[in-house]
Amino acid sequence: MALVSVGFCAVFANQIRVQVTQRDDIFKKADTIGRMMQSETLFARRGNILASDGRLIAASASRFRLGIDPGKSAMSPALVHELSVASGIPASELLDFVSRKRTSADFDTLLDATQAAEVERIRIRHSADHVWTRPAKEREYPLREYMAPILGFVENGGGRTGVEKWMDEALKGREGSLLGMKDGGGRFLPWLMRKTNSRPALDGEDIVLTIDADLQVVAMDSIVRQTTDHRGDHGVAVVMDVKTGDVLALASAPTYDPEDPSRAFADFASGKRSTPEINPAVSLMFEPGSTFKLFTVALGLESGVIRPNETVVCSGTKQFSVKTMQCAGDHAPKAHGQVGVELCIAASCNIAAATWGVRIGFDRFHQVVERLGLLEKQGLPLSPEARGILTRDRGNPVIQMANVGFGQSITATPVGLASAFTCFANDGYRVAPRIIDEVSGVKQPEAKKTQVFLKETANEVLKMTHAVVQSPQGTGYSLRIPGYTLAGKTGTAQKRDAKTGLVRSGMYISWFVGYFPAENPRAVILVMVDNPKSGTYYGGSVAGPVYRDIVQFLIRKWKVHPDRPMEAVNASQ
Amino acid sequence: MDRSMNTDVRPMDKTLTILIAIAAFLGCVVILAAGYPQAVAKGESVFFADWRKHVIFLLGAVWVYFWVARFSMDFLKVIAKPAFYLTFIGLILVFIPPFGVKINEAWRWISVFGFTIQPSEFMKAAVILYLASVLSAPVLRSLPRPRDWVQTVDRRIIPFLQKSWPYVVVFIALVLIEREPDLGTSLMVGAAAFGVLLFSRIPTKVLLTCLGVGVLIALIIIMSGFERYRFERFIKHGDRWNPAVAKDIGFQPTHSELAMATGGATGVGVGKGRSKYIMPAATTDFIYTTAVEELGFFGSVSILVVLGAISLRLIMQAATIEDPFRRMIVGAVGWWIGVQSVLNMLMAGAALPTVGIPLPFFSYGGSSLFALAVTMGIAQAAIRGRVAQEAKRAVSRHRRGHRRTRLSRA
Repeated sequence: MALVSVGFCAVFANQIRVQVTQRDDIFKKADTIGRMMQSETLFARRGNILASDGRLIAASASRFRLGIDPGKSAMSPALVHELSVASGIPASELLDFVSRKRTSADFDTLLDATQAAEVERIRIRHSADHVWTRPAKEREYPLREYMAPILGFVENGGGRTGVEKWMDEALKGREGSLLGMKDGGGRFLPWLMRKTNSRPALDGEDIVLTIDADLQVVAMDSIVRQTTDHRGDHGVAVVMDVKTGDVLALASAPTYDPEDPSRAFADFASGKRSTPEINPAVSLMFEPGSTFKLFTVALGLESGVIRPNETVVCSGTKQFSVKTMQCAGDHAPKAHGQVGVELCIAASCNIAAATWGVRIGFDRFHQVVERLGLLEKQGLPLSPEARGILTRDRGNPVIQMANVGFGQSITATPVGLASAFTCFANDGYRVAPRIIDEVSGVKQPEAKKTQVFLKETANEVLKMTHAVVQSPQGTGYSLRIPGYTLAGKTGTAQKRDAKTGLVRSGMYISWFVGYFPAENPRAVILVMVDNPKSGTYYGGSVAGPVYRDIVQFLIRKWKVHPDRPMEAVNASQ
Repeated sequence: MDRSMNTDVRPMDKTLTILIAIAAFLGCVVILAAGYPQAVAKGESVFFADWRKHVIFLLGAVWVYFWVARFSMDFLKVIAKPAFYLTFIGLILVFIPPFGVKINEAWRWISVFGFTIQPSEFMKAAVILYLASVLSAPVLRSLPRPRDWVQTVDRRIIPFLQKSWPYVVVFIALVLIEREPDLGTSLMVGAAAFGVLLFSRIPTKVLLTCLGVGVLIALIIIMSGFERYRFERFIKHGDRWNPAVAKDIGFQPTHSELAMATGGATGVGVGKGRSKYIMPAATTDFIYTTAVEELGFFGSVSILVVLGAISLRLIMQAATIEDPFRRMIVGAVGWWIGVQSVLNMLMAGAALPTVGIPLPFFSYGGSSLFALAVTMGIAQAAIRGRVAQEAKRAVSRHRRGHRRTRLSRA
């Protein structure tokens, strides 16, 4: 009796020890072996990116791979069996792997999210640290290289370049975490959760771009073809809605496979291409060449520098201060004769443009270039942005302004130029570019509009651009499409050496800026091929065909009716 | 007076019955509370199948209890030996496949008519009954000194073997149970047997010898490392919070200790325990854990008090009974309940290394429930001390005759 009583007293004493006196001590010990509070990260789903037509162009992949490190610890038959059931990988394959391999590896079989979650539960139940699941592919890009210049790609959970990088904050969402006590199966017990320290994961926001996926594909095909055929360093084709500033297509070459960008980086390392981390349309500056004459003429007309019906005599060459300017011809400088503003645009007369450029002067030019937004960043989240440069040349203002008159000695980014050219199709208002249409369902602000020219001036200049394609004298005559009036301006800039900053012979930048439809344009299309080395370098022949391809697509897409008789087109180019 | 003529006939011990009823009712509640999470996780309802089985078995057990409590002492003495050997055969049958069933790598059950029965649980009652009947039998008169070897065999060796046979056969039973393997039950059967000795008034010398031998054998079994895990449980018990140990053999004691600490003085609240989601033996060996975790001191003390009361009530009753057979039964049952309860609660509280021992009246288990009903019934019968109908009549006849004689004398 005494013995039994002592026994029960011992039990009571032990309960006092456990429940009261050593309570905190037990908590401390339990905490050190992870029995108390455990935390778990809740991964946020990265936001999807959609084209304006709703096509998914970047999607979060939810495929996982099962990995095992057989060298670390033995695997019980029960664990192997359960893993096999959960993952669908035959048990024989697992056993074979465990018995043969000495190093860790992932299985090729892709698991979906539920399978991966089941494997995770098994892992916890068996405390098998040598088994894991990890995402097989971070991101899927259904349009692959067609969208790579815009979207960039994701690396180690973060955007490396493109929209993926510059909109990373919105796309990645916020990781959540859970803190609390778990049951034997690794699940949290709801009433033992530390609510204040737990927060749900916020999935990334879906982004809708202004890009039209079909148009982007057409533009990419075309610009890549022209750049490759003419062995250019870069190629850019920008299609912008002239009213809203929406970038409908932003094609650039060279491109790469965003699901496997390693090859592009290898090419970059070996000097075969520029880094995939920049988009030449926003990161690089180029001299706009003759396309710039549109601004020279518009500014000249509006400021009264060019008198109505004024003509300049072009003999092919003309002395400006200490330098001789010339109009480009096939073998010798081309003499344009009596050149008015229309011909200056259509035939791209340098002498006339230079003459007027000098007359306009730096200040007026600078003011307009500023208003055109060429000297500022365009605000597109694609890659590090550059801004155009126009600085006063103290040495010889005459030479500088003659150069600026036909688009040299000034630089701008292709996207900046595309935006600047919207002014002629938009009653003199320049519209800033816009590529993010919606972020998680919220429409992004409309593009900023700035009046640069008067409505009359803008429309007059726009009219002149018709002749570039439609008039036999025009530099883009070969680009005609039967039944449709096209409008644009070619440009062939001389490229400066990157090191010396001096113009180098034999290096050009081919430009074409065009509108479509010619009356009441909806889109401005800017094409550039940087440094074509095929021997052909005129804007009309190298960049122009891209414009024509895009217009041909837009005719079908927008169902535009022919606006002129179907005259035969002889020129086959 | 004839020894079998027991005159100390008492009514049934109502207090004991009430205590048992309280314990059985609490047991039902705690099994439900501790068992439902893992049952629900397996897709069962909250009132899971095992619990429903327990409640139905409990009704049967109540009937068994009251039925056995009516047994007369003569009947108990008659069935003592057959019951023991029948159970003994059961212990052997568990190893023989058509009858024996292997569950969780252990041969503990025999399958009869679709029921699985665990003979070792019934062995506790059988061993108490058997040893009590043996030890209460008339002592052999000492024989005269043997003069040659034939007489030595006759008068010394054979009587010695006869005298020690019960101890030997009980020891074999313990070994059989240990080999199932089921060290916990083996220890408890041993404790029950020792309980009989405690109340048999045999010399303290013999008692201590038995205890010493028993403890020594138990220690040898554990420490020999014959079964690696048992050895490690004992060796590493003090080191159970070491991360590697806590993951492995320290898993149950550490989780149980932590759960009880979490419960603290007030408990975390009914249904809010965590250990029952984690521990494998939440409704059996570690049922005390959930009770303490969820109810704090109320849980730990109420269970302790109820079990202590049952145990001490029986022992106190035993002290008042003169008849050795009855005294030994009542005392041994009380002792056994006390020892098993104390050991289970100390193991759940991590004061002792874990050896699978269930908590009487609380742990889930069909065989142990019925065995307990039988044992408590036997104890109750022994407290009452009824005599068989014939014997009773004989007594009354005797008394009547006596009275008549007296009357005539008067």
